[in-house]
Amino acid sequence: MALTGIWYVIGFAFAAGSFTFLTFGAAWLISHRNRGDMHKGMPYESGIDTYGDTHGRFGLSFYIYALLFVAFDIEVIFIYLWALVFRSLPDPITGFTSMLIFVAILLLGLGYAWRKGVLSWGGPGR
Amino acid sequence: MRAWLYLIAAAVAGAIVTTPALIVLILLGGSFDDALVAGLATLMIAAGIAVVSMRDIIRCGLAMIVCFLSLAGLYVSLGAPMVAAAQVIVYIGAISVLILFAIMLTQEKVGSARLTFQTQAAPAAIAAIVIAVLVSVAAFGTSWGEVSEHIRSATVYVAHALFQNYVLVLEAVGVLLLAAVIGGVFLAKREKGA
Amino acid sequence: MTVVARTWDRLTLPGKALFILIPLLGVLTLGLVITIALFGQQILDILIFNLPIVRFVFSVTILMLIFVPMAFVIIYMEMKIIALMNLRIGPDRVGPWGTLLSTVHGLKVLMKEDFTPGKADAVVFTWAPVVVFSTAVLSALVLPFAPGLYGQDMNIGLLYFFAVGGMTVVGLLMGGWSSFNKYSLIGGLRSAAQIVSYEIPLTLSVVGLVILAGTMSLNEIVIQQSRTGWFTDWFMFRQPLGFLIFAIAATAEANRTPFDLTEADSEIVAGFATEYSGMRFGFFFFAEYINVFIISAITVVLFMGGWNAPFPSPHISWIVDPGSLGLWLVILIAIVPVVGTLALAAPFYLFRSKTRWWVALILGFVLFNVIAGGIFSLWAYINFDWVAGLFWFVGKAFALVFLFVWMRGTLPRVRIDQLMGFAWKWLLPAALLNLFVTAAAVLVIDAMKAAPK
Repeated sequence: MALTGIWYVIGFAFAAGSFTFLTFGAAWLISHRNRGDMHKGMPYESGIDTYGDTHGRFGLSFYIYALLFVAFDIEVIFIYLWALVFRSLPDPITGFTSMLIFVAILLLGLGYAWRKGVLSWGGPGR
Repeated sequence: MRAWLYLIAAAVAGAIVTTPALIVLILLGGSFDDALVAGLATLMIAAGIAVVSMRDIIRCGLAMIVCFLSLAGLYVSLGAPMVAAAQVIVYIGAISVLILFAIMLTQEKVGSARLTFQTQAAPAAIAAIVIAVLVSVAAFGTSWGEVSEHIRSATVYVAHALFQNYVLVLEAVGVLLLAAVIGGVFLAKREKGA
Repeated sequence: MTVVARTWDRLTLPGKALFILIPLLGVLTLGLVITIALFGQQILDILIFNLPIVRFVFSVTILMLIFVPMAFVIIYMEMKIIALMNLRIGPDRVGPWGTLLSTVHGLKVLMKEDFTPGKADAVVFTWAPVVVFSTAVLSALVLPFAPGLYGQDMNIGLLYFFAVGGMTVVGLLMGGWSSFNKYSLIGGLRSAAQIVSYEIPLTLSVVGLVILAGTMSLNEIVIQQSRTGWFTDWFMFRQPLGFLIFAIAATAEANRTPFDLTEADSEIVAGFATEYSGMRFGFFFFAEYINVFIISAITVVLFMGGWNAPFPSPHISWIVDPGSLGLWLVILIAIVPVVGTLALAAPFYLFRSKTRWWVALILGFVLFNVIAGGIFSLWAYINFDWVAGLFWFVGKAFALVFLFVWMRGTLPRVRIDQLMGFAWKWLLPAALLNLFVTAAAVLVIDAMKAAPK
C-alpha cells in the first residue's frame, strides 16, 4: 500500500476526535447542569457585567506578525526542499548562492519591517 | 435538546460526505485508496460550498481550512506528500490564520458578520470558468501513464529541478514575497498613522 | 424498601458506576478468555492476515492509552517539583506522596459542569479543544519511540510534524473567537501570534540538521546519530546553535514559562480558555501537557540521539527460553512468589518485634515485586532492542520535561514586546546564520573530501 501514511493520519485524527467527543459525552452524562440566571451566560469580565463590544477592534500588531509569517513560511518550504537535495546538487556552490540571494531578498522585507518599527510591539516609540 | 440536534446534523453531514466513497468502494468495486480519493473530493466540494454559502464569516474561514485539508489529502493520495505538507504549512498554518486574524481584528459586531464582497460575482464566475477550462485542457492533454511514474519520486525531483533549471523563478518568488511584505507593512503603518 | 434498594441508595454516584462496571468487566473478561480458548487459532490467523490493520489499531490504542497516564505524571511532576522548589510540601494526600492527585483531578474535571456561555458559538466552541487535542495526537504519530516502535515513518516526517504543530493555532483561534469574551479573544490572538512567530525560527533551526542528515524521516535522523554509539554523535554537538534556538522556540511553541503569555493570569485571566469549563477545558489542559512531552520528545529525537544510549553498551546475549524449562516453569511460577514473599517478609517479622505479621507479609510482597520487576526489566533491557530504546527515549524526554518544569519554577514571564521582538530580531537571524554556516561547512568539507581523489 502506497498510501499507508495518509490512512494513518486520517485514522489518528478520527481516533483523537472520537476520543474527545466520547469523553464529552461521558462528562455530559455524569455532570450536573443548571441554567442559572442571566449572569451565568455572560462573558466573564472579572465579575462585573459585560461592557462594550466583545468583538471589537484590537491592535493591528498581531496582523503584521501573521503577514510576515506568511512570507517566511513560504521561504521555509523552499529552504527545506533545498536542504534536502543540497548535497546531491551537481553544482552545490550555485545552489548555495541562489538560496543565499533568495533569503537575502526576504531579509530586505524583514529589515524594512524592522526599520518601520512594526517588529517592536506597539510601534516605533519603544 | 440542542445537543441532539447538533448530533443529528453531524451524522447527516458525515453520511453525505462518506456516501460517494462508499459508492466507489462497493458499487464500482474500487480499492480503499480510490474510496479515499472520492471521500476527500466530496469533503472538499462540500467544504467549498459551505465557504461561499454560510453566513458566519468565521465559520466560512474554518470551512476553508477543512477544504484545504482535504486538498492536502488529495495531494498525498496523488503521490505528492511534499506538496501536501506545503499546502498544510502555508495555506492552513499561515494564510488561513492570516485571514482569521484579519476577520477577528476587523469585526465590529457579531451581528454584521456577513460577506460584503458579493459585488464581484461576475468577475469571479469568469475566473472560475477560465480556471476550469485550463485545468481540463491540462488534464486531457497529459498522457497519465508516463507522468505517474515521475510523480512517485516527486519531492527530490521537484527540488532538483527547482535549484538547477529554475533558479531565476525562485528568485522571482523571493521578490514577489518581498513586495507582499513591504506592501502589507506599508498599508498597516498607514492605517495606524491615520 | 428492601435492603438491596436501601444499600443501592446509599452508594455515591462513582460507587454506583463501579458497582455496575466491575461485574460487567468481569463478565467481559471471562467471555474473552473463553473465546480465546475456543477460537484462538482462527482469531490469530485472521489477525495475521490483516497485519497492517492490526498494527494500525494497536498503535492508535497504545498512543491514546499512554497519553492519559503520561499527562497525569507530567501534571504531578509539575505540582510536586515546583512545590519542592518553593519549599512547600505539595500534593501529599491522595495516594503515596500524593501521586494519585492528578488522576483525581482528571476525574474531577470529568464530573464538572461543562458550560457554554450564552452568546458563544457552540459548535466552534466544542470543536476548538478537539482540534487542539487532535493536533497533539497527530504530531505524536511520527515520533520514533524505539526501534520499530513508531506510528508511521514518513519521508517528510519532520515537515509533517511542523505542519501539524502549526495547526494548533487554528484551534486556539477557534477557542478564543467562539467564547465571545474579550479575554479569550485577546488570549487566542496572542497565543496565535506567539506560536506563529516562533514557528519560523523553530523550523529554520532544524534545516542545518536536515542538511547534515540528508533526510527528513525522523527514524533516519535517529539512526544517523548512532554511528559510533557514543553521545558525541548527537546532533546537539554538531548543531549547538541550532539546538539552542530550537530549545527556546520549542518552549515558546508549547506556551511554557518564560513564554506563557497565553495564560498570563494577571493580564488576561486564562487566555483563550477563560470561558471553558468541564471536559472541554480538560482537553485544552490535557493537550497542553501532552505537548510538553511531545516537544521534549521531538527535541530528543532531533538533537539528543532519540532512542540511542549515550554510550555503547557491551553486547550480552543472555537469553533464557521460558519454554525449555517445561514443567519446572510451572513450579517456578507457583513457588517462587510464595517463597520470595515469605523470605523477604521474615526479616521484618523476626528483627522488628513491633511489626505485625500481616504488615510484614505486605512489605515482603511489595519488596518481592520490586525485585522481581527489576530483574525482569533488566532481562528485557538486555534482550530486546526496543525496551532499551524505549528506556533511553523516555528517560531523556522526561529529563527535558523536568527541565521545562524547572524553568517554570525559576524564570519570570517575559513581556509581550520582548517576546515578539526576540523571535523576529534575534532568533530568526540566528537561525539563518546557523543554516548558512552549516551549509558552507558542508560545502567545504565535501570539497576537501573530494580534492585528494
